[in-house]
Amino acid sequence: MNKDTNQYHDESHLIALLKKKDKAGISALYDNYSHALFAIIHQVVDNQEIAEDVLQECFVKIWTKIDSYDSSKGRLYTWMLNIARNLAIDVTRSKAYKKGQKVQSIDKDVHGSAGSVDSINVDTIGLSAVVSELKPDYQLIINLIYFKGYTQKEVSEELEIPLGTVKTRVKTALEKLRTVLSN
Amino acid sequence: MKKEEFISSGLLELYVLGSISNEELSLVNDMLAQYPELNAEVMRIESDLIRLAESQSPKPSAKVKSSLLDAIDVIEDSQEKLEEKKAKVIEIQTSEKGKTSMTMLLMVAASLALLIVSAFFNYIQYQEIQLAKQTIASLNQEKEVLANDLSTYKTSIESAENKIAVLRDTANVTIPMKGLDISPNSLALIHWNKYTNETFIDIASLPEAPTDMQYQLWAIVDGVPVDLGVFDVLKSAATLQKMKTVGNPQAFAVTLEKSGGSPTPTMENMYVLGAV
Repeated sequence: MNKDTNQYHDESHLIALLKKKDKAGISALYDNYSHALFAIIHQVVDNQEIAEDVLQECFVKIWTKIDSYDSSKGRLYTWMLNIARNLAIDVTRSKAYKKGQKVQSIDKDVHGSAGSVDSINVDTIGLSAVVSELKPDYQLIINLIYFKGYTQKEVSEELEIPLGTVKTRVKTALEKLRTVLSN
Repeated sequence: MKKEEFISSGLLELYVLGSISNEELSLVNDMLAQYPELNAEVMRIESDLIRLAESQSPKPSAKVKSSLLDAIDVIEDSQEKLEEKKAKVIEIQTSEKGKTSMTMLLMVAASLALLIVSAFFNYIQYQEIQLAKQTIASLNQEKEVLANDLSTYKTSIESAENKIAVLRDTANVTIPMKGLDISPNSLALIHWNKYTNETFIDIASLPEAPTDMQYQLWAIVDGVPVDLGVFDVLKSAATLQKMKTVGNPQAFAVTLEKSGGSPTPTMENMYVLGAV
């Protein structure tokens, strides 16, 4: 394991610092996760400045709500991911955001139903070269679950594929990506 | 479930992605507890997902971190101040409470005292009012009695005036009727007007008539008794009672008859008699 992985490892130590309201905790947490969380937020709000605002809000929320994190319900990263995604989605529902994004979002609204076959290309727009190495079906599933926060069931219904297939496709997609990312 | 089977199921990926049902979550937790080495697999997946996300966008600008730390300072500061204030408020509240309870006690005591005093005076006042009411009632009663008396006196004065007028009238002749054997102490006067023939009886003394009987006045005209009407013995001595008119009487007499009078006098019940 490399140094980075070790940092992600050290979750319980980070959580202990955060619960003590030690600023070193939030600082380390930011260093470890801000890029990934920013990317998730950016995928949703599609605007650098807004995404940075949401990112700050996200870490403030992590700081103030850390006591409600329960490790038996999942990983810290998963918990933070949900906070980031929900804040980003909330922002896109605000009037100010809608006004500012009107022109840009027309395309996406037209193809609002994320799972339809026609919208595959639209939904994967913005995903980087890494993801584009995947087959469209896999790109779509990663986009829906990871960046849009769909549940397995929602993906299954949206794409009209069995739940088991959703699971194996996620697995396969991530294995493919691992190879790509390692290169 | 075997470890390898579990790893290939994709559940660990979905666990890190947070797209997992509650049953699946307990299965994952059970497996992680049973095979601690699976944690390494979880780390690997998480690391992959983080790198995947990072590959999607540039890093946020550096100012975000400093701005975040500033924001957290502000939050903590205001939190501290808030707690200080809360502590102060509690302190003040507790110290005020002591004072307040003493003040309250005094106030309550004062209120109670006022209430008692007020109740006492109210009671006194009530008593006085009751007394005043009683006085007014008895005064009213007295007033009524006096008014009755007054009207009685008025009546008796009027009748006295009438009597005087009759007596002063020179046209009137007064004939005393003296008591007969049946009632020797009885006495009544007749005032008879020789021009108008008006006849008044003035009872000086007659025994009270039995309830079903009345006195009847008679005039003797040409030897024949003429009915001049029945009368009652009135309490007021001053009263003259006007009887029927009669012309040319030779004598007057009073007999006790059945109530309402008789057509002819009952001679044995003749009380008084007087000749003109």
